[in-house]
Amino acid sequence: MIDLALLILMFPAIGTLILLYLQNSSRKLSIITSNLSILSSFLLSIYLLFTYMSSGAVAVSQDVLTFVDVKIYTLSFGLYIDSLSLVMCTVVTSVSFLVHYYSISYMKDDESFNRFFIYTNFFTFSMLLIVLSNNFFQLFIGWELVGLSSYLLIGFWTRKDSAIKANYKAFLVNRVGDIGLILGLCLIFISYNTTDYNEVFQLRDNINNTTINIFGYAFNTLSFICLLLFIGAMAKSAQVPLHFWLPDSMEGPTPISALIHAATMVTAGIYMVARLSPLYVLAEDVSLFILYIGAGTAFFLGLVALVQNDIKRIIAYSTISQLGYMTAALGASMYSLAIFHLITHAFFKALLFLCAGSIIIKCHHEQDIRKIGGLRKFMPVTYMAFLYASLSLIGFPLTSGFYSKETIIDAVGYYGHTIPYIMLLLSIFTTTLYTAKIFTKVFFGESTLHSEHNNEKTEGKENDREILIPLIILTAPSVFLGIFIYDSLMLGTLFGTSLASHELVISFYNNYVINSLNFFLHSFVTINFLILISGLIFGYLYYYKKSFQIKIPVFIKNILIDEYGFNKLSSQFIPKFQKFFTEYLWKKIDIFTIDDGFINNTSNLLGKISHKARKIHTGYIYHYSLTIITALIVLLLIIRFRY
Amino acid sequence: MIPISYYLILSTIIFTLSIAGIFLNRKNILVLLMSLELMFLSVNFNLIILGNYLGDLTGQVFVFFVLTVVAAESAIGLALLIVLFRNKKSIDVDDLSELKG
Repeated sequence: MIDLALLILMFPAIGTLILLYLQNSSRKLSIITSNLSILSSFLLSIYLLFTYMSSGAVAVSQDVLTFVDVKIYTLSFGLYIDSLSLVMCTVVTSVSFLVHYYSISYMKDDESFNRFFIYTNFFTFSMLLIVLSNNFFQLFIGWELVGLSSYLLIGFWTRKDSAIKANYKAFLVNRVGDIGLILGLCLIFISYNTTDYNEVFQLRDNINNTTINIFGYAFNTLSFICLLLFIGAMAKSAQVPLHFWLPDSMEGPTPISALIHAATMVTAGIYMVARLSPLYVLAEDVSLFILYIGAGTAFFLGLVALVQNDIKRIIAYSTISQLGYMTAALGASMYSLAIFHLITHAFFKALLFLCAGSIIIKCHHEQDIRKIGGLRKFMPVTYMAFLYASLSLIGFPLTSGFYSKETIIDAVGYYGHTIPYIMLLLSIFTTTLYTAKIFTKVFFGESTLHSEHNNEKTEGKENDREILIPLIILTAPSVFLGIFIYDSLMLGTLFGTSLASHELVISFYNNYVINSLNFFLHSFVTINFLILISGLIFGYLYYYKKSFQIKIPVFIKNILIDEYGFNKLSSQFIPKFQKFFTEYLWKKIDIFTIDDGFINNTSNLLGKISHKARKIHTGYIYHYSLTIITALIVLLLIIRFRY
Repeated sequence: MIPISYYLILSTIIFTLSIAGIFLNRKNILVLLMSLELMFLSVNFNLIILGNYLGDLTGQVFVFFVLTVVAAESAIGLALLIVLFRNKKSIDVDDLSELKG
């Protein structure tokens, strides 16, 4: 089993290496290698998942390779196989494969076609490294590799100025999170003396009672570890203070956005917290913090999506908002719900992005939804796929998104977290609104583009088969996956012991949900449904019928466009501060103190002294002889009176 | 009999005069050389007086050697002076101030 799991990881790795050599050869070889490596990885993941479930579901953690083995510490490369990691593998590889397949057509006009597939394969490999790791060290390596490959892919169009800025931003924000992650890992190593997951989980109670002193304040060590690691997760999973790199990451090619948002990048933070759930479940105060961060992100960043006009940026804000739901579920200690939403979100968000890509390519890389319009007639397949993905996103009953999202909202409410519950409820409304906004503007109404690009031959047709097939395939899990795995997931048969604190979800299931059908029927009488329907009606009237106009006050709109100041923070305040600070260091410390102060001052002082001292040298012989004789006399007198 | 201290005082006076000649002479480099000569003579005078006083001929013999060396030295000094004069067209002490830093 370990060998097969190793193969899951090795296929994309070997694929990447082969692709590196194929960089200058034909496109066909590149396509075959990249797609085949991910496909075989996907098939293996599915196979392993089924054998794992049927063979009694015993988690395996095994070291494959040892890097460093000193007396106190072993640094090894190992695999952790349980239902959580295998399910994640399946999700990652399936979405990744469809994105690869989609990219064949999407990137066909790009000159660095082969380079694209190197990066995507590498990206998938890095994510699988995180998912399958059995120790913190390996997690960290995978974490950094994911950061690196996202950097490479966001800035894939290296000649585009905004893309370079965006990937720089993404990289820097992730560095901020990495500080938390690295400190957390150091603290884990100091406190547990090991980096292996299982050993840490076994020892977790030992240091739950110890405290750590930071700046004179005592903290619970375990809580502090959890907090530091969550800062890392916040940057990767785009939670509130560290979220602002994600909308800018839209500068990359659209398949990459699908990959980043659905499978390989932003899910890493959620996955890490879920993987470390035995630690997080003990840190109750940190969990509460996570819950509020998640709910706040879900609500406030959803609002920002309403004022955006770039189709990809709207979907990006929607991703941040949905990640907020997952984080809220993590904070409420219902880890399986977070993973459930992660899975369904991966499929419908990948679908949304691939649809957006299909629309963008049809509209000649125009992304402004005010200019796009009336595409329903030309693109029936994309239209249907987008419709299903949107329904899933807003949580329309029976879709996958409904099961995962409503369960999180209801469960947060059921366990009495009132403020997050209200935020999550309101977020349904904003989600519905911005979805309605994209939907009506893109597929209905009038297009202003037709006059600009008037080529009749391609206008009336749908996109290539390579673009449409992934859309059709992804529609199935986006709509139906939820209902299939809902009961087994809620009852804990799917994830079993790999996630902590399952009792919470089970008791919620027994007392509130009862079964998936009942949950579906019950949802029609809940407040969630009311908000959803009111959102839909509002969206229909406002965006489609245009039966009334709302004037949003300018200052509120400005706040939203500025993302509550985060845009300014990242584009103006931090660079200004940095510039001020570095200029201070440069001018005051470096030039003034060191160069002028220490170095030039020393030489100037010596120069002045010697300038004065050289006046003694008059050059007149009688002065010298006078000095010599005087010195001689003084010397003689000293000798005379000393001895 | 003249007391020995008289001789010694005379020699000291000559020596001091020669030193003063070196210090205070601002004009002529020839005077400088003459002062040097005088300094040697005062020291030689000391040697002769003390040699006689102690009844030791070595002092008086040593004077001959010293005088020989002085003669050679003043010859070199004058030769240098001629070269200097050829170069600078002056034997003024104040013009010879090139030793300064």
